[in-house]
Amino acid sequence: MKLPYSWIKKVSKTKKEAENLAEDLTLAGIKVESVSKKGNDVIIDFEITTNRGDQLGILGIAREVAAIEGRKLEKSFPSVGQLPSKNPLNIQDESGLCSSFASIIIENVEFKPSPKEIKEPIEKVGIRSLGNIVDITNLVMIETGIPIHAFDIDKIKGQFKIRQTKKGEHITTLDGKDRQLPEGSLIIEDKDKIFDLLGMMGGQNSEVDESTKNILLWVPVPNPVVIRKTGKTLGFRTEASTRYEKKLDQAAPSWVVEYAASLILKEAGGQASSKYERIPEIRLEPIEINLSYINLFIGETIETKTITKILENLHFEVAAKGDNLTLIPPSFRPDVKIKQDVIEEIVRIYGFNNFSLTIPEGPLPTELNPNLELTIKETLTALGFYETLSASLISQELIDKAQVHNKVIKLLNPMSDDYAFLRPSLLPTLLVQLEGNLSNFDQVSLFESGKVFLDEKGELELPLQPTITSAVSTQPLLYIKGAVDNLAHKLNLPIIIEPNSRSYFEIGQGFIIKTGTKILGEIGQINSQVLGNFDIKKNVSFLTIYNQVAIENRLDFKFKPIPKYPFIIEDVAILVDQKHRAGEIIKTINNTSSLIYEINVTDDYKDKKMSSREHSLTFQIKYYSEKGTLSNEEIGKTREKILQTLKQKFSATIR
Amino acid sequence: MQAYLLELQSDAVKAISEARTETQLEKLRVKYLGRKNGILKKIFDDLADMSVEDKRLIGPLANQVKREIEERIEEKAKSTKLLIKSVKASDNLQVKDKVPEGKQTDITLPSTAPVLGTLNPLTLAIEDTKKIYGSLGFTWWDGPEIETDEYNFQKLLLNPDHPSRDTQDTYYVSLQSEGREKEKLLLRTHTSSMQVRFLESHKPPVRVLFPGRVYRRDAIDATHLPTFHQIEGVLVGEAIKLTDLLGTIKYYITKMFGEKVKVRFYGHNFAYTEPSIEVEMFYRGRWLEILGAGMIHPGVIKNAGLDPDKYTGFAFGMGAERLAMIKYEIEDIRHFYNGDLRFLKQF
Repeated sequence: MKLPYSWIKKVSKTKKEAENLAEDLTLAGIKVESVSKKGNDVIIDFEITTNRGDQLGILGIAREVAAIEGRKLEKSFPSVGQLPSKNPLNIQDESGLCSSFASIIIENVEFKPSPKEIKEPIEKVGIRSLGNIVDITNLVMIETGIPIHAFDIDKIKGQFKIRQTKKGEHITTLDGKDRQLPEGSLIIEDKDKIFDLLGMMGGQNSEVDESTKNILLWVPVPNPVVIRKTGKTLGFRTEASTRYEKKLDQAAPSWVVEYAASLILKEAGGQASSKYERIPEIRLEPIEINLSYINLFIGETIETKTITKILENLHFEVAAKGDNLTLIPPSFRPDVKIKQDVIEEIVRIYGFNNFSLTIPEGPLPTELNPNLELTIKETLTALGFYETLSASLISQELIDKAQVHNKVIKLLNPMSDDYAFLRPSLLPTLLVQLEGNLSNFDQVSLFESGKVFLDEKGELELPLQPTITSAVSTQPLLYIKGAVDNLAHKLNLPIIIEPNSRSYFEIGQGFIIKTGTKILGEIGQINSQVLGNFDIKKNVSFLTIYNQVAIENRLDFKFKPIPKYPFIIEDVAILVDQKHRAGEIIKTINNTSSLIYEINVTDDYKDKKMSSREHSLTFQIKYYSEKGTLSNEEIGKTREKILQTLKQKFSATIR
Repeated sequence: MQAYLLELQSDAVKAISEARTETQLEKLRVKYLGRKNGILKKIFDDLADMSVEDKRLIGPLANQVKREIEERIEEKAKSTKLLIKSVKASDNLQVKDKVPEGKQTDITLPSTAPVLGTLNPLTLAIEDTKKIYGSLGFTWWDGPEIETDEYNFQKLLLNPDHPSRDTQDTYYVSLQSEGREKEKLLLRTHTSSMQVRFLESHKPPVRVLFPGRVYRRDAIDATHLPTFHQIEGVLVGEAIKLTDLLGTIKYYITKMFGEKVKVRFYGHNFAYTEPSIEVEMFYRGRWLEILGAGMIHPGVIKNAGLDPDKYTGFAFGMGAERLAMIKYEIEDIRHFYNGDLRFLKQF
């Protein structure tokens, strides 16, 4: 909302320059967006918060300026003297949505161009001059913050009925546009036609022009919610409607209409013949507040007389009785209802930057998050993976390309096809990002941690939305497996990896990771079709860990005593059918004797001399006993047993 | 002669132990053991002219002394790592080792160790925030992104007609699963949805951060993405004061951005806090809006099932990408979400 500094200065009687004033107001909660010179004046652009319907004009701002400077603004506006209360136009509110209004009829006015002192102020804030009568209505709006409209009475026939529209009605507004009105908009109609879109814009058919002789000044306070809805549906807002969208002072129409009438009588001549208004009984509830409460809430003691003065300067009625204050807010502050609202008034004028700063005291909270999500991430970065992020809304196209159709949740009101679904997997965007890097890097390893979504029942009566961590890499599958091993070690998770197929994994290259009976995640090679869909010409391995499963299934750390005696280390190389997995063979060897401490695969190769189904595996076996260094005999016996088992169970050939 | 030899030995041993430089040690070697003019050479020459009896007496002793002096010189050389070389040129101590051909390693070649990956700068900003608030006893919690209208709006006093709801244009989801088609679920528009969710199930005292993803139905352009991250904070207890809020915020900003930063509070309006403030900081030459905060509205405390006369508290919220963009001088929000390694590797 733009207002000229000179006008604020005149009404508030401040001695401060525009920049300083702007800063004071911002600190007190009236945010200034910009301060710009215009000719020899300065235009201040305010951002008024939704709760301050009283700040929409010079008056409201000037009141704040005075309060900030320790004064109470006393400003009175000229009135028109006693006028008969008559309703010749038959003004009636059928809608029940116009809680307050006031109107004055002025006859025999002269439509003329406006003098400088009327034109200039409104032109400064970007409103066009349209003749004395309309200009005065705009000037009064800018000055008081309450919009006012002037009708040419002679264009209104028989009645002045306020109602809501039904479907399919329309009006040509002052700007010449024929508007199809949404159902429920507030309009005013006479016997023949709709002539006003209440709160938004007047109708062309009732507008004041050069031929106008008799006018009705009209100051309504319509329901803010309806005005906002209408404006949103029609897609336009005016100076008037933006004001009506906030709660205005219901007592104001009565004096605002008189002020406007007095200006018009001065500028356009004529006689005010009658006034008709309906102002509801405005009884703002008194608020009881205790001074000790205020000071405890703030954390610092403000002198009682300071508190009282601030509130009085803001036009509150203050009655003190001992430690208690009874306050009645002014009619233009319907937003102040509870103790905390009052405290906000006190502290914002006192100045938020004038308080001491403390750290909260209190008993120790008992919750503590071990932040294991970070451990998962750091394990991956230690292995050379880079953490990325992506939008959690994706397109049908990406879902299809990555073959991750699975109970995908659709948005009811997407903005575009690109962001029309909630991602069921992190794979699609990881592949997109991996591909994007291949032009600059040979090896790409990325991971992301975030939620995926499935149309299935989850916790808290909401759909399933687990947080998972997925990684893609151009490194081989056995490299990315290192992430699983390291993570299992860091989080103390026993794991088993078993074959499992997925639509996006290559056949025979997909695996499920389990910890106990729970599914911890999956790992595998992405199949060539999916890679082709993403234009990726390298092999990509993919890993997913379900964060909650990892975190919740950790075992307690148990220290393993360091061996007292030396190991005896031997290698056994075998030729064996590839269908027997290394893990299986190791498990079997382990079970043959308690003297085996550890077995690792140290070599795995294939050459042309072997049959297509065989490969050579070398195992390094560490023998150990708690009782002492093992003898050659003991080792020999164990070795024999191992070799026998390998031959029998796996038809292995010892090399 | 014997006495002479023993005295010679003791002098030599003393001189050797006091030798400081390679040159000095070499001089001593030449003095005592030199092939042409060394003292011991002279002694052996004289020995040749002695009687057989004298030879038998002096010879072994002379040899012993010679050995002793040799050993001492060797020892000294080893223990101080002096090289006994023929110093032909000068007393210059700087030994320019001549490295044999092909033995010099080129250390400027890239290391063969794997390069560490990096955390996304958004994560860095969030983790830093967790640590700083952690020092004030804050824990952190995760929450649902598909949320109900209740927790996202109504329990925060944002009823359906509230004007703030316009600025937070909302995505709604359509569910197919049994019995849920009629439900009106949305994607949370702010992490404030966690305030009542958490307070309902955790009795005060409560100090908790809610970092997480939020969704706004905005036109997608250079600075607007359909999803971004916020960090919410809630502290509720008995007798929590406004000055606690101001102090906590100042503490955080100072720890996050440095002691030189200046912090300014000013009045604002949120439906779920009263009083409400916005906070700006003066950083690298300009004032930047950094977060919104306020004392939690008693209506919200009530909605969480707590007595607002007994419990007070404050809440704050900030844009997480914004924090990272300010701290790391990142100019475009889309970098966080593009996965470009040329961006990610910098951190």
